[in-house]
Amino acid sequence: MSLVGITSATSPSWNTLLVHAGALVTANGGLVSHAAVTARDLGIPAVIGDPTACRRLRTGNVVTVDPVQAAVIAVRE
Amino acid sequence: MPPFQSAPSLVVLHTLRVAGRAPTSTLLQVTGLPPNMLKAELDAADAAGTVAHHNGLVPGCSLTPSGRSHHIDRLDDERRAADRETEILAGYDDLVAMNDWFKSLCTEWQLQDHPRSCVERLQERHRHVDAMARRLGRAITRFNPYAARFECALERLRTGDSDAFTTPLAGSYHDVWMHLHEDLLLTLGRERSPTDGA
Repeated sequence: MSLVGITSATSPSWNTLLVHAGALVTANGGLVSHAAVTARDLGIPAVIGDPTACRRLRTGNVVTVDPVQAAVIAVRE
Repeated sequence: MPPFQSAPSLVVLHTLRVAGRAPTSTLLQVTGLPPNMLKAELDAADAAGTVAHHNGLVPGCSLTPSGRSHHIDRLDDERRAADRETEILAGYDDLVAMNDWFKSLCTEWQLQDHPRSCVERLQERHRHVDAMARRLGRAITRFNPYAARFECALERLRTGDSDAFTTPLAGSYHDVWMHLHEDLLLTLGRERSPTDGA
C-alpha cells in the first residue's frame, strides 16, 4: 500500500510530492497532459480525468487505482 | 520601457510558491540570485516566519501558511507597480498556444522510447520558446532565468542526457515549462482553467 495523490490538476509543487506517491488521480486532463507525462515518467499508475474523484474520495480513504479500467474505487472509507 | 526590477525577497517567495518545497541548490538555479543574496533572503524570510526548512523525505524550504499569504500580497504589489499585464498576457498566450504541441511531443518521447526526432523537433521550436521567455524577462526581471533554463535542458538533450526532456524535478524542459505555466497564472492572478490544459 502506498500514498495516492488525488487532485484537480497537477502543478510543479505537486510534483515534489508525486515522486513519493504510489499512484496519481486527477479530475482534469487526459492522456496527453502534464499530469500524464509526469506519472508516465515516474512509472506510477494514474487515472487522469476522473471528474468525480475529488468529490468522492477523502483523505484517509483506502483506494484501488486501476489505470486499465480508468477506475478509482474506495475500498475503505 | 526598461524591465521592471523584481525585489529579491519576492523572487525567493515566488519561486517557492511555484516550485513547492525546494532545496537550496534548486533555488540557486531557479532564482538566478547570487548565493550570498539568496542566503540573506532565506535568513530574513526564516526570521519573518514566511519560510520553513524541512528535513526527512522531501528536504528543502517551503512557504509557511503566513508566507503564502504574504507572497500573494507582495505579488499584488508587484503587479500594480510593474503594470506589465499586456506583455505578461502575451507571453501566457504564447505558452498556451504551444502547450498542446509540447505535451504531445513529451508523450511521443515517452511512448516511443526517446526518439532522436523528438529532440530535433523541440530544437526547431525552441527559438519560439526562447523568444517568449526573453520577452517576459524584458517585462519583469524575475522571468529572466527561464530562457537559460530552457536552453540548459535543450543542451543536455543535445548531448544525450535523456533525463532532460520529461523527468520530473530534474531541470527537464518539461519541468521548466510547468514552472513557467504556473508562474504566469500566478503573475496574472488567475486560477487554472480547463483551457489551460492539465
